[in-house]
Amino acid sequence: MALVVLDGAAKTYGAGGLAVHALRPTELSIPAGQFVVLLGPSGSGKTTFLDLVGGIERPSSGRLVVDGSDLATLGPEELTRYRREEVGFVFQFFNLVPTLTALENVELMAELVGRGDASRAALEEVGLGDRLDHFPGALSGGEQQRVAIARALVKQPRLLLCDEPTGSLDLDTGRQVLELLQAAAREDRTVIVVTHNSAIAEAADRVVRLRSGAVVSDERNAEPVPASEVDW
Amino acid sequence: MRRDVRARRGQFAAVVVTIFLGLALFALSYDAYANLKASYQRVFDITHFADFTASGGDTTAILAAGRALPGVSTAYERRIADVAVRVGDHKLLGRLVGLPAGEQPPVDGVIVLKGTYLSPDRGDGVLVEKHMAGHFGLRPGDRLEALGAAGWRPVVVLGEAASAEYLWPAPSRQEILASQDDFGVLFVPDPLLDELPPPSVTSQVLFTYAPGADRAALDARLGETARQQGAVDAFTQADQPSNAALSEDINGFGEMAVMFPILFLGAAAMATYILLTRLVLSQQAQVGLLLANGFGRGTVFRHYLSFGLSAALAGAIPGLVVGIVLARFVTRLYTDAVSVPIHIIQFHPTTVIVGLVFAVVVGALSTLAPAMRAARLAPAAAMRGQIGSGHGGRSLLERILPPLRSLPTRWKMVLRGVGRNRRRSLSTVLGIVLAATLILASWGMLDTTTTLLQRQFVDIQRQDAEAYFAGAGGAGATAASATRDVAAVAAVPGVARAEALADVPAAIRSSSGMYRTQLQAYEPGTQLHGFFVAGRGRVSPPTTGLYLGSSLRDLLDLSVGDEVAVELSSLGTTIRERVAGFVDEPMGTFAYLSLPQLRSALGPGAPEPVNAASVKFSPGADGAAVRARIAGLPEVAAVVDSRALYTAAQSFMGLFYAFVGLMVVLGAVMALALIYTTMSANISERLTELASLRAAGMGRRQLTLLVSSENLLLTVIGIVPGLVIGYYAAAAFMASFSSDLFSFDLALRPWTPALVALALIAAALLSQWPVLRAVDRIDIAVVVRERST
Repeated sequence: MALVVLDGAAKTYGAGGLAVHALRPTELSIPAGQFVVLLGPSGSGKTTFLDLVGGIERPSSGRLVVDGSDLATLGPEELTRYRREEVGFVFQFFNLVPTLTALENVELMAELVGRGDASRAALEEVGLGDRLDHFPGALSGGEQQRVAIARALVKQPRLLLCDEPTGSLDLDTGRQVLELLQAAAREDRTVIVVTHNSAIAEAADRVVRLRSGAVVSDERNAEPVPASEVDW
Repeated sequence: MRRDVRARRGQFAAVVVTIFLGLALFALSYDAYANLKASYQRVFDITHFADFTASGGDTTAILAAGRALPGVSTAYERRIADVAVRVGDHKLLGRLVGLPAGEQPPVDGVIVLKGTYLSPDRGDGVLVEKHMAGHFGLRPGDRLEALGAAGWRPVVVLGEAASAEYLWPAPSRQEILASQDDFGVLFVPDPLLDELPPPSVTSQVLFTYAPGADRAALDARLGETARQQGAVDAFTQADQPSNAALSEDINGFGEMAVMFPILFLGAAAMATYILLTRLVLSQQAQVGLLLANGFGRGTVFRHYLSFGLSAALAGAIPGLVVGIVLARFVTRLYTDAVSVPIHIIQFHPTTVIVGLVFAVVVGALSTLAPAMRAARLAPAAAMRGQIGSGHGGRSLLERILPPLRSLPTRWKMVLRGVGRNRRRSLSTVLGIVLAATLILASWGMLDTTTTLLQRQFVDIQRQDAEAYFAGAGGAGATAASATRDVAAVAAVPGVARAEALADVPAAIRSSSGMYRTQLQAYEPGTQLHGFFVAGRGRVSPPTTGLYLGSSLRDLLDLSVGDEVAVELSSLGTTIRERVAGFVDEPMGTFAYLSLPQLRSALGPGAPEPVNAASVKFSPGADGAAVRARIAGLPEVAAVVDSRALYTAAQSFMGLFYAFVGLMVVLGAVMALALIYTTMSANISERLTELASLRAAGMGRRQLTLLVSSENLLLTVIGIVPGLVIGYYAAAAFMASFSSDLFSFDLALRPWTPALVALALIAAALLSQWPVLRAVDRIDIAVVVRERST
């Protein structure tokens, strides 16, 4: 059964002659536990897609249903609760709080949903059990991104949304991050990754290509490549 | 730069406003100070205000000796008298100053404001001093009476005059506050003084110095001459009662002209530093790009330096203009209030020059470090954003109080946010300290004055009035007559209690010097005067020995047990007494004895010292009516209404409240500007992480609470040292006004520091509002994708 359903959902900025159709009316369904990569050049609408599914933006028209709730009808407080309980975000530049340790960065999010005790385990799952008390300034880029993933996963969201998660990382570190995302998907979590990097698409279950705000192709990967074998 | 200013217009405006206030207050204080000094000096110059005055003793010898001194340009002898004066039915103490009729004296002349000067053809014609004329509505042609040797002597008002000696109409240095109901000054033809009781008439010698003369040396020489020739009083121009009182006020303006710029420009400097540092950090990628493409480091440096200078000038120029305009208004207001007859309002180029220099120096110094940092950026690292801000580490509070480590993580984030950028936090704390100092020093002045007035007029001076006897000092004055006079006063309806009082001029002499004051002797067990000795609180009236005002401890280098000589010129003798204690009294520096002790020291056959009665009215009595009944007694020459003095002093409190209110507002504005600038910089540095928290599902209210808490914590950290420093600043400020005339020991009311803290917290909360609105409206989708700087 589909977890995420876009039923003509679209996003337009501005009006009249100055309107920008960041995402044109889109029909798409994503089941739970699927690893989806959104590919496309700048301005293709992939980031807008992510923001709509993540509840950061609201569709200008159409419906966007996640687990039975139409996000287009939710108010600001409801969207905040949706993001808190259902969504985990991972960004290109990690966005960690520099004055908190790795453990505390994860705890900060975990305490939002009453799972502060799970923070240590979340960091151990991403291989940072020995870096709990390190501040972001003392962590490498890859380690910071793994903290960000642990921070996103500790809430046990049903959706993990990642915007260029390997964009600031080298190949080996990027592979480690990709492995974690694949593992998250195997835990019946829907993972959606936005990227320019077409090589990452090989690791996905499904690749959706966008151009000029519209889906131009939607392909299934019969045999996703393990993250360790992805090369760019 | 215009774009940078527009992008940060709120913070730029905060800096500009702070500089504006600092320079406006500087210009206002400095110009008012200069104008008032010039106005007073003009009066002194026109009237040839005496540089030195000696009263009593061998005035002929003093005159001759003084004339012979190099540097003395004029020496002049005149007479004054203190007698009862009657305006209609109202009796008051009159100071009659003898002047030559037909021409102004060479020293201590008068400015005739209405009517005509004294005429040789009008032996009964007098000039009324401006304050007395205004209070009683006296005009040329009106009649009043002076109590002569042969009874009430009618005189006619020829005109109204102002004198440098009575711009502040004080009877003496110890009686700085005098009700105009009780004391007035008349300028009379000298021959009229021959008709007054001789003991009431005193000869004076007045001196003026030549330009360039060594004033200090002449003061010392004439002072010694006066002492040797038995003068009962001698004072320099600076110590002349009116000049001494008014100088305190003018010097206050002078001090404010220094204090305000320091406080406000200091706060502005910190705000500018914070603003520029943040600006440089946020633009480091662009700066790196410019440097990589060949822009000179000097260009970068000048660009950022010009930002600070622009803010400084944008605030300084309008601030100076407003301050200079307001100074004219304040000068006029003040000279009218004090009845200075000449208003000099001038443009002082120094004000503009000094003000602009202040502003430019502050603008340059505060931007120097950030501008240099920008110019020194390594282009490659700057473009890659490797030069970050903020660093990890537990907060000081967590290290001091380990239990804080168990706080929920979001509150640990708040604690650590305070130390995230230490220089910025320190600047903010210093700004709060400055604001707290300004507010507490001002409020402390109000508290102190209110408390001390209460102490002086309720705890110490417990009488409602003092009645001075007509027969005092005369040949017929005896203990018995004094007792009858007191009884007559006590018998007046509405009088609950009347006690005998001796209130006579005295010179206290120790091995270290001499001090002229009044000796007051009370009945044993007096209920109408409270004695408060430092370190002992309220004590009984003296039974043996002398109580002296606490200023004399240092002025005459005295300790308890020391013996002093007390010269009682009006009683024609000197007594010797031991110091029994030093009394803390806010106003004046007096000497106290018990009446039996005084009589014993004077010895048998000595003149009767009792010359007045201390009076307490019955509860609910009509004070004015009782006073009038007492004044109507033939035994009474004059009545001094103590309650009227208290009322007069309290009437000045309205000005104080306005001043304090203004300082509270200005201090709050200063705090507001600084906190707003700091908070804006804090938020702009952390927008990405704040947006990430919103994206992760942290609620708006929770986020703004955390951000707000961090800034309030910083405010509270600043309030604590601010109150401590403010307390000592207030004490020092009050002490700067202390002299033998007024003793201003800081007396803060217990709730004042709490109110100051609340005012600053309120300013902090208010200053956060625009920034918290910005946090509320973060465009999450955009900001989460930006790189932190």
